[in-house]
Amino acid sequence: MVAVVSIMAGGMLLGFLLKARQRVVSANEKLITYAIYLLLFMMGVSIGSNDQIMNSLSSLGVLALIVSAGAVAGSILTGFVIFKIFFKND
Amino acid sequence: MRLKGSVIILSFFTMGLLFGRYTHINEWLSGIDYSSLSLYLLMFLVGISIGSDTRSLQALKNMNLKILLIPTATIVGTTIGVWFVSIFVARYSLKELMAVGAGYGYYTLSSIIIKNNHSDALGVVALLSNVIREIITLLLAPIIAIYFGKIAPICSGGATSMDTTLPIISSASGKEYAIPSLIHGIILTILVPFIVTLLLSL
Repeated sequence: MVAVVSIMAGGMLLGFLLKARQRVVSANEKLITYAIYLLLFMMGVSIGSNDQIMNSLSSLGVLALIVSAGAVAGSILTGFVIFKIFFKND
Repeated sequence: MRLKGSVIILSFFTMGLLFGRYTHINEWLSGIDYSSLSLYLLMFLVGISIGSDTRSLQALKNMNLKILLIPTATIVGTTIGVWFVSIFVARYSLKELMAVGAGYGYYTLSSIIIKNNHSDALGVVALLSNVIREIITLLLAPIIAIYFGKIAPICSGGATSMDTTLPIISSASGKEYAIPSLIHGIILTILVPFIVTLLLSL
């Protein structure tokens, strides 16, 4: 994990230094899109070749739905509370 | 419009699934730690993107401490919500479900960290769950803003409030909430790798 965070920090520093170069910045946004496609494709490959997971995909999907419903509902409620208390009169 | 992005991403994932299932691509790649390598590449590029984004630097300069309440609300709310639904889930522990929730919608990064540090199966749950979070926000932000106030769509969007869900949040809650939404997303994006790893190591 130290590797991931330092790689990201290195990227941030480089990005800060390069920010005047608009062409590099917009090329980077495109690269991110392709990197995400690559990453998702690779995740798909590694999961698709795992029979155990492929056989339980529908139950994993239901589980995912339950977790996101909880996460979103909880966040909406705390967002509602801080809005009422701290932001409403702005 | 933005939904198109999620659809494309899901199709790449599905294509990978089919290739993994019906071809020998996984054996050709054996010995290469391709998921870690693609994660490093993505993190590096995301770093460049955050560092070079004058908008986000500007937003950080204008930061009023009150804005920090919003990501705090998202983290606390997600924790409470996941804790509540964990009562109904026998397959995974609270800690594991919390790690899934702590992706805050940032599905690419959270799912791969969970896959590498825990298991493929929980990685899939994280991917789907965080994609669903983004889709729910894209679809419901206007309704959420009406019934639960202008901050709630930001919290619902989680880390995606800085990019994919930012346009819908700014139209649902008003332009004055675009900067808070951006800052909220940036803070959560930076926190995702730390919180997910921390939860998995407990």
